[in-house]
Amino acid sequence: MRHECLVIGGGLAGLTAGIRCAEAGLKVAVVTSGESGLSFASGAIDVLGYQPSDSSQPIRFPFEGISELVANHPEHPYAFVGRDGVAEAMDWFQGQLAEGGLKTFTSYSEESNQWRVTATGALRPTWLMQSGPDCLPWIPAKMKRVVFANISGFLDFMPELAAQGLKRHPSFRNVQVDSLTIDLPLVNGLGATADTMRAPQLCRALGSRDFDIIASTLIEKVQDASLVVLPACLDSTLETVHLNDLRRRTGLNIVDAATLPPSLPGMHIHQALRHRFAALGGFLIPATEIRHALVKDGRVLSVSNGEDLLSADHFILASGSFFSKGLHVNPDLNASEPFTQPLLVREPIFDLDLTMPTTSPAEFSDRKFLSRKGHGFIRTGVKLNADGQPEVKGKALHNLHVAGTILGGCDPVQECSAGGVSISTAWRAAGKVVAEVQAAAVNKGGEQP
Amino acid sequence: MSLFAILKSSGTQSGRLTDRSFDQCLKCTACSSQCPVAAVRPDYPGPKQCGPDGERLRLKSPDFLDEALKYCTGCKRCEVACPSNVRISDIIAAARTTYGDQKFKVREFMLSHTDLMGTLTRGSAPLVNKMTGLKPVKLLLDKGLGVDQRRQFPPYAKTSFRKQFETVAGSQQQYARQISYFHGCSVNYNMPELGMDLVRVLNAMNIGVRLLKKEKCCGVPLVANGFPDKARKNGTLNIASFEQAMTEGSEGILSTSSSCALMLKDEYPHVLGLDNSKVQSNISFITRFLAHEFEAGNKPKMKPVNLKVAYHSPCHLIKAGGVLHTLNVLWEIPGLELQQLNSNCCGIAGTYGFKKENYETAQAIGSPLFKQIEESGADYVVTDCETCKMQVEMSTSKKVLHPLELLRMALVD
Repeated sequence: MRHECLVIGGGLAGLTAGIRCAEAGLKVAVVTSGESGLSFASGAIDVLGYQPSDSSQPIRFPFEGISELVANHPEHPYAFVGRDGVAEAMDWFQGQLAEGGLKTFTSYSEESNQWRVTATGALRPTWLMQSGPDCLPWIPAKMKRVVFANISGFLDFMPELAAQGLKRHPSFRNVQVDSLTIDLPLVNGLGATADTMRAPQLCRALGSRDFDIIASTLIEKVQDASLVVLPACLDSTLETVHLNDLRRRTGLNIVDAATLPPSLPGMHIHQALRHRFAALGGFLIPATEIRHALVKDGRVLSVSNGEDLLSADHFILASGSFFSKGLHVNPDLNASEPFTQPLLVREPIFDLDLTMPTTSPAEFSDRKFLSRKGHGFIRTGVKLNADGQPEVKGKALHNLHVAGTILGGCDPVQECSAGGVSISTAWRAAGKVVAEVQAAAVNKGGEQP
Repeated sequence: MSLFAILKSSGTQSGRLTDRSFDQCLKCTACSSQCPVAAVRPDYPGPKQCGPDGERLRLKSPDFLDEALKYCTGCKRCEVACPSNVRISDIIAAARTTYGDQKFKVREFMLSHTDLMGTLTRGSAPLVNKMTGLKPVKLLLDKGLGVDQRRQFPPYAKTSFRKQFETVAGSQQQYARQISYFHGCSVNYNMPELGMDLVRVLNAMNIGVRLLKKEKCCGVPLVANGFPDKARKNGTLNIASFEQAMTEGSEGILSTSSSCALMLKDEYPHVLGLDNSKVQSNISFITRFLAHEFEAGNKPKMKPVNLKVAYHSPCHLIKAGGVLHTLNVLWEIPGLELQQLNSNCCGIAGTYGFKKENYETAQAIGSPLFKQIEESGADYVVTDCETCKMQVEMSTSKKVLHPLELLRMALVD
């Protein structure tokens, strides 16, 4: 079968692109080599939390922020989607997740960010949440006490660390922040204890008696808390939303924070997207690493894993950044003097032009891991031309579109924009493909008598 | 080989299986997020802990062997997920044979010596089939051996595939192109019709089929049940047969079982330490060969089959990168309405699901798949693996076809 669109990469961007193509009735396949990074993700979707290079001012209205951002940074991926495009993409994406069995929430307040609590107790501006709308609204009601509660023995959530982290936030300076652990029998745990469990297993181990104990412990010990933060180990799919149940039973405002990976809310997003893609008739080709491409006259004819040819009319590259091997760095670093030579970055399949193809090690990364100005390698990626197309040595590839974290020109970590950039660029790429396929069909139809 | 010799050879001397790839582990947990067992068993710590993390400890002292290792099914989804090419599943399998209980177990012997069991039933298949379906026999197997009584045994065929092949062997000479078929235990003793379908399909593509002079069980169940040395012995014989077939003008070696194919091609060298380099590139799972033939223009004449089918991809086919090939073949069948099921493990994992202590786990792993199958509205389920077929047919209302059976149905006679 000849695919109308072949998507390379099965993560957030790849599946999003696949779903939009399949929804429009295209014959589409997603090729993926391993698993996506979604199992490391918080499961909240950020759109824009900070302007580039300004970590001091959080952005309340992300779409207004995008208008300002694209005016100043025409190389930013959002500039190719535009403010309205990003807004439309996010709305559409939320609908697709719901179709795939996962409910998510934006803030009650029109087009405003809300806050999510990270595993270290930091607050980050976010757009979509799984735990409910405005668990932490932009301007929170005055708080007296915040409690980070953990299940005894569970190692992938550290309430004391998170409590200290939140305490450092200026708005919480005068708030009492403390931690609590709850002993549970883990009735469905088959006799195992929480210290050998990751979040998905803990979720499976919790039974109704455990929920009774969580609820009664919270009522007894922290009834005065303005906010309770639990590790994200409760089921939040459409079938069971345990968090809502606990809120109802305790009358407390409870929110969950992503644990160390594997992160249950991130896995829920992956699951919902895969479910939706399959239901729409898309095909997923696993464990197949695309290595080469056959290009002629500015068009990609086929791609290959080294043994099989995969042909298609259109291609979307969503192979991710360095960790996903969408980008390679310095194949032949001189090991004895690794930091004296310039670094070479390559996109391995098409050899696409990049934002920082060669760079000095000092520009590539900062000595401080959590440096406020971010790292060069994060901004490195595929460069798009003025028409939003990728190029090889300055020549555009007309039937190739690029989406997700492989794109250069932004720092999704510093900006809090990773989810939004992946989703909206994939939405845009798939939209272009759908439009071209439909236009080709009309032309073909017009030729017939 | 005497039972005593088999006993002596099993288990212990597995130093060759030690694998240092765990040094590459970044502790990212991508493996644990994909483990079908960890998803349903909170008492299984998952591939990261049992594989690379545990191996570090076990190298210090075998006392660190975690009893939970026995819950690993060997599906290899962890290895597909790993961004650093750690051979997690192989590390766990090796740890079980190296540090685990070396006592001989009748059940493990019986479940894993598939070719021996097949030979023993020769001539008495109808009786054996009847016996294994009887309640008292099932109860006896359950209580005495720990083979779960809820499990249905695959029926043995009256006439083995090798015997049935004799009726068509003569006509194979007329084809200029010749290819060898590793039928495996399941086709020989349980599903000879699938082997005959292969002959019909390849003949329709002007390719003659040969059998190997000698073949033994590929070794998958032997490795899974603690008989690596027996597996190595079988492998050595099979590789010699493959090399002989190639020198006698065969184009390659085909298997219709996705797990056999993975073993013969990829795991002989890296799990069993056997050198198959002379023939490795010639070994193919059937759909890989067919997909490449179709691509080159050699397609049999086909008529529309007008069926709605749901495709389930077996874990070992995923690991081998073969889903692409099966889809490529299925996409070429005219009239076929094809739906791909979510990539979930069916739970049986070869002999794993037959064991009493694993029955519940196997069914829990498979339940999302079974649900999706029942809701699919498909006429048939299609899959490449014989034990996935057993599991799906036992646990759902659907009959399961091999891709080759669909192709044979599409052939224009």
